[in-house]
Amino acid sequence: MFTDARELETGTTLEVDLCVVGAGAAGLAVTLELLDSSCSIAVVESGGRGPSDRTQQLAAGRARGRLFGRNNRYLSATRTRAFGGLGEDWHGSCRALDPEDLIVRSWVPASGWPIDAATLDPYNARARSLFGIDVPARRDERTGLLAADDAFESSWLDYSPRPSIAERFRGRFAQAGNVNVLTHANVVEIALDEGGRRVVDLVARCLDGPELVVRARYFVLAAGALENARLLLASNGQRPHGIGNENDLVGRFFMEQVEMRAAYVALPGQRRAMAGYDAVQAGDGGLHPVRAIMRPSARLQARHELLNSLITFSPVAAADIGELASHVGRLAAATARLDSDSTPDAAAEPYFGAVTLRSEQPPERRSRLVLGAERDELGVPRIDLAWRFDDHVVWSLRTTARLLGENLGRRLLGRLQLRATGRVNRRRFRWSAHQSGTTRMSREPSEGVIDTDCRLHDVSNLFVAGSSVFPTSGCSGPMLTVVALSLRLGEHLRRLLASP
Amino acid sequence: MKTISRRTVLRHLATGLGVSALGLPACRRSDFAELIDALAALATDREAAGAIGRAFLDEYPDEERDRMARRLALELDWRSAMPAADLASALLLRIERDFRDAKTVLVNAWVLSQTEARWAALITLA
Repeated sequence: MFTDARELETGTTLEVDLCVVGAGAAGLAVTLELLDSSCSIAVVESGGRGPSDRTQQLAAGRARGRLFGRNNRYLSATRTRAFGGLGEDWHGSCRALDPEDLIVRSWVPASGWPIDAATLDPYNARARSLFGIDVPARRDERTGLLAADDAFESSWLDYSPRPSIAERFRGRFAQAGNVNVLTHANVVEIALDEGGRRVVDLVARCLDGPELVVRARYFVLAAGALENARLLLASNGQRPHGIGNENDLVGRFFMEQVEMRAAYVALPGQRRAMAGYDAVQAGDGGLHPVRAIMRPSARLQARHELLNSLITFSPVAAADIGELASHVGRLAAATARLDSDSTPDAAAEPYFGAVTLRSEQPPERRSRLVLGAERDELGVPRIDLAWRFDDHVVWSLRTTARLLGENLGRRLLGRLQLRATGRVNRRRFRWSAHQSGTTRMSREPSEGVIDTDCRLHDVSNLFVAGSSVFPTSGCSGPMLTVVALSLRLGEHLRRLLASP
Repeated sequence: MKTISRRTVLRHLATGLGVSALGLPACRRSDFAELIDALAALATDREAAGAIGRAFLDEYPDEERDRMARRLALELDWRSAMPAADLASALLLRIERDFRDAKTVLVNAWVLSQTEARWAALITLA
């Protein structure tokens, strides 16, 4: 059921088995595992059914970084405080992390997850099912893909046919007798017991409304990659540095994915194949929407010490690229015709496209959020975010683009024009709103905030869900992995709650 | 066994080719004209090649006709009266190898094979 917390009496105390903070994709997926069980659950959500300006203002803060402008609205624009969370602005793309994202790579400092791909696989499959993308792949028949290669791989990026998280789950949560979704309730403090090893309750406040307390056996923070860390840091009444922050790691290793408008391509005879890359192909005939993407293979990454990146194409007119583009396309066709085995397609009108690369960033300890001096309307310190990424990201993006150009040339597929060759600027580079890493998962408390069960290393009943637990971000959108990890956490909590 | 005179050695050294090119007969300027004509004949789109050739020469003014021809003759293992099909195969192979070995040039930021850029430039100069 849903309860508008503003209508409760001040001083109301709710006692439940499980309290989940945040009704975004992570919080809802954790709760799904326990829907219609004998456990009582409170889901505490800051917003209502849709976002409101005043509630969004609670997310505002200061964000600094080379791709942020002055007076930017990054913090409030990239996060949504409402039922469904950021999932309401999600376009539905679902892609698991690549296997190499999870392993230690010598050229990526602090890389490697403490869980492996095999651990995630069954939960990825369940997440795919939840999003309606578990249908058999008959997709190659719709359109072609560029031929396989050991340097650059092409594959289909799946899109959920119903990307609205709220729409997908609202009915089930409204009907569930054991779940109470408290809307308009903003958690402002997490209280520990005297020993500081166990959460006793948390305090939530409404704008112009009552203050309430939620007591539970277990708590899950699922408020978003930045808000999870903010809540831990702001709950510093008993531990001066915040909860779970004995090793000064909460808020650190903040990661974004860096996008670069990297290049243009002229690919003679490839118009049909590139139709799959150009835009999301509508789902029809029982198939979900897809879009073709490329990425450097694990082998190429290792050989050149590249970061993982995802490559997308969008069509452009030759005239928009420049005077020489048409000639380059025709020269590429003429070169392809030198091959006595070339097909007539090689001479066809070239495909012209813009190439965008999206890269992971290596985990960076200095990239962090702290509590700022300003406070929000409810008295919680606002976020002061310093996003840092080193030149490896820029070098890797540029090198990947150049290698793609050489690869297309070698395979007689076409030619590539590099765009972002000058200094890093916001015309060519941007953030992707894929935030992660502020409460990273680790085996050892000295290396991260939570353990492999997503529980805080030093608090026995406090768990974290969402992309804040990612040790590395990969280049995929985080949604599928967030939901997979949350389903796994929900399963873990179900076992814990089953014991007295 | 073929003998090489001191005079031949000196001539090759003077043209900058060194000993590795001693077996190459195509070093005379008149031979370059034949090679350039043969390369131009392979271009099925001379207008496009010409445009790229001009852009390449604008960006790399040190590239000089005879030196480019000499280099291509070497790299393509060109011989006078070489069949066009053989020259086309050699040119294609070299372009593919350039891309594989990162022997590329940027022409107006387009990543082109060194060989194809010189091919285009020679067509411009033909």
